[in-house]
Amino acid sequence: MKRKNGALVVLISITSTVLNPALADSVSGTIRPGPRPQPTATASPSPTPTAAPAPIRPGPRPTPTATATPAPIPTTEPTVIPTADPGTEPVTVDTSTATQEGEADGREDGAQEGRERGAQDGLLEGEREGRRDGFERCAQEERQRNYDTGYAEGYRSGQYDGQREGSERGEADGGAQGQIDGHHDGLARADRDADRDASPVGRARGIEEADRSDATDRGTRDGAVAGDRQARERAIEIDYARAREELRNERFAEPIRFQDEFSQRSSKAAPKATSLLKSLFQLSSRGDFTNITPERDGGSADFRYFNPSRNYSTPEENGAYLQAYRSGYLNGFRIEYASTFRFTYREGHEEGAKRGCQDARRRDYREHFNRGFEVGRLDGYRQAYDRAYEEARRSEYNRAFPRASELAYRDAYQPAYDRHFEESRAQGYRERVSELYGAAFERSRQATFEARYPGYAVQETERGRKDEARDFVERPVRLLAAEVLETIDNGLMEPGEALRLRLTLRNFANQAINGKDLRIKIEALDLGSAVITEGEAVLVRNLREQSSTAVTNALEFRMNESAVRRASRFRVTAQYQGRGIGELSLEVNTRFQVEVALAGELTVKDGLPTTLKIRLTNQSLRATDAALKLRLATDSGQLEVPHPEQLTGGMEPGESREIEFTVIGRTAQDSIRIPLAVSVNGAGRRVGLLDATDEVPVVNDYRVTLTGAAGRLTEAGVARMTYRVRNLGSRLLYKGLQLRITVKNTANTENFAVIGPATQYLMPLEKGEQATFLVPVLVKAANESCTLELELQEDGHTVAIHQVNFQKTLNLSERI
Amino acid sequence: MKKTVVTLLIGLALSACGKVPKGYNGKFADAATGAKLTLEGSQGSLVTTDGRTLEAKAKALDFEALVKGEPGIYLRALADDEKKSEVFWIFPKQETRKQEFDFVWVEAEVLYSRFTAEKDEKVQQFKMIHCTDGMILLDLPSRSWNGGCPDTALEYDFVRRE
Repeated sequence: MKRKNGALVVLISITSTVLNPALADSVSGTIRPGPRPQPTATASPSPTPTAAPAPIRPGPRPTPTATATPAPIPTTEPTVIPTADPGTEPVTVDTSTATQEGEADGREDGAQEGRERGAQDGLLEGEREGRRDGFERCAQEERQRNYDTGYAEGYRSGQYDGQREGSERGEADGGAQGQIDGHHDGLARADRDADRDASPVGRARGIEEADRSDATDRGTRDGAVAGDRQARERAIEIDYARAREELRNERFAEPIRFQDEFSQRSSKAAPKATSLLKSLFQLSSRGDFTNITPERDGGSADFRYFNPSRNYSTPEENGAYLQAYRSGYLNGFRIEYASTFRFTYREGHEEGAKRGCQDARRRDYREHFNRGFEVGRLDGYRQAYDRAYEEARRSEYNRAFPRASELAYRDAYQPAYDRHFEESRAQGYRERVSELYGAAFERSRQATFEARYPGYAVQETERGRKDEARDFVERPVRLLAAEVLETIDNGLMEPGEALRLRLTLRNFANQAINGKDLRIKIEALDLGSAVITEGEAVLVRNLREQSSTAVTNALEFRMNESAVRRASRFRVTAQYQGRGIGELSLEVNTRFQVEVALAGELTVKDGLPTTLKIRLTNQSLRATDAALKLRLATDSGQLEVPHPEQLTGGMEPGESREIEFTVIGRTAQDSIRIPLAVSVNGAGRRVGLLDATDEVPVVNDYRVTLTGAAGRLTEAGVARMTYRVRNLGSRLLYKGLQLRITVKNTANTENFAVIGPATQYLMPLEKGEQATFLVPVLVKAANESCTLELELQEDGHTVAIHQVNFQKTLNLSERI
Repeated sequence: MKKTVVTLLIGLALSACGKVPKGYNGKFADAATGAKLTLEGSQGSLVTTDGRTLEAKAKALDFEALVKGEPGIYLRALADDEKKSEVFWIFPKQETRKQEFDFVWVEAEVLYSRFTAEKDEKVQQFKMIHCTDGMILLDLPSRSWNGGCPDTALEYDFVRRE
């Protein structure tokens, strides 16, 4: 059997043999047990001409198709020949020899088939797979080789272009930058060199010019003028003022011949303090090639050489032989098939791989070449461009820079020289002139001052004494002191109290001074702090010669209540014949005799009395009047004061006491802002005042509110009043509430009758709870006005009082 | 001890059907006064400090019955807490009944307490006030009424005994 085309020849001969049973019989010459089954053709592809091989596409490894299992050869069951005597036992036949011989014969025949088929199949499959594998391998090699070739060529091409373009661009950029930088360098060098060369020369020129100027003369002249002026000013400031002061002191040191005192109001008693005419209220103003020889078992044998040839005398032996032959045939086929298949597969694969590789190498791989070429070109270009650019740029820069620098230097040096020369010349001139002028000025000033000052000092001293003396002639009287005197001797300046001055006047003249020529005056510097009842006056008596006179009860003013607890300023002046002889400032601290303040926190209850405590303190040095009257005034619409006036006894100096007022809140709000004014009067005047506005909380355990009214108490009929009561603060448990209803503030109480019991009862309310209830009232006749009062008690204690006012012409007004 | 069995349609029911909540069933006593209270289903009895015994059955009371002066019970849920109710029984004294201008008032013996509705667990302690000189007031046009006791009312602090 030939190897190359042998497989095909064998296949054809086997097929022919199988299809021609007569031919098979003539070959073997044996007795066949039955018709030979027709084996099916294998699934191998038909061979194609090699001139134009079809491309084998690599794909999954094909699995060799197994030979179709032929129809099983029917076996002949050994027949059991019944013996003539059915009554005797069957005979045991020894079939071991037949079995052995059947096994051996079958194995040999099966092996033959296995060899044939194994060789065919192995060769075919090996060739097919070898072709595919060879194609894949060689195609990959070709692709890579073409890519590499393309890359190398592209790289060279890219290098060439990169080199060329990089050089061009580098040259252009380097030249331009070198030009610019060189130009700047030239300018800077020119300026520096020009400055170095020109400045010393220019400065020397400037100094020379300054030396020739009139700076020294001017400085001397100006210095003399300044020295003279300073000497005169110094003499005035020091010597003149000292001369006057010395003379003044001398005059003040003169002995006082007369110490006098008189009152401006010598015949008048201290005026009675009057009440201020002011209003009582001062409402105050917040987030993978595998194993090339795969294992095969050939599938099933087609029994082409099935030919059991032995015949035995017994059917048992024949049966055993046939059975063993069959088994041996299959075994022999399987073993030989696998062995032969492996061998021929290898050979076929090798051959097929060669052919596959040849096919692969004949294909077109231009696409890979082109891709490699592009990539290589880019890489080559980039690598060459950067290097060429930098070299060219540096070279051209180094060539352009010095040329541009030299040109710029040449053009800029002279102008820079001229400019530096002029600047340094001017500066040198200025500095030198200043130096010369300053030195001459100071020398001349100092010399002139020292020469002139003594004379000026004498002159000004004389003048100062003369002026002071003349002043004493013109103003022989001086106001020396002023103090405020109270007219109510208790150590306090009270508002409304008449306050007067005690002035000290000194007459330096050798003759008496007419009192009419002396005018005294007081002015308040703080607006609204005081009333000046007598702001200006002339003295009622003359001043004796060389006297010091205390003038008492001079002028008069009264502090306003608005000045209490503040320091108020005043200015006191005196004039002699129209010339001022003194000005003094005074400060007055005003306080009431009795300090009035709230004692403790004030709380108010709606409808219920609470206590407002007032603390009084006598802050004067004298006892108060024996009887003090207090009056509490407030906004009666919100806070009722049943007894706004109270009397208390006199208070010793420093004594404090508390006075209580009963107040009743009349409001439905939780807090009220109320003005409070407490005035304390004694001895016919106000001696204490508290004026305040406070935010006062309204604290009630219970609040009663009128929620509805059917009917009016000013009209005849039955009026039904609906109320709501709320427990705001009472924590008493299981305490019932009792209501007492009365009608007040009416001309005729008999006109009204509360329907129902005099006292109503309500069930207990816990804190936070509320209840409503109704109060019917019979009005017998129309009336002008009345008040319906409801008193609420808890556990026998009054906890709320509610009032409703009715007036005939007005709407209902509720007062709680 | 004087025993006045007063068949009163009274009780301390807390439901429309007039039963004492289970939590309030049992025997209670006030140590201060010696008063004893027994509650059971729709029954209740009170032995007062002066020896009187008030026995009661729970029955709902309506406004018309009050106007007539009939004794009975009244249950009123608190507006701010539906779980709590005011409970009181009223024994009006018919001879004191007065009416003027559609306003009725009558003296009454009044017991008052507060219970928690539908309380199943045993209540150990609760308070009650009691007066023999209370007052009930009814306004016919508005069908509203009120009532209570003076400040002399007794206050019981009932503690469970059984």
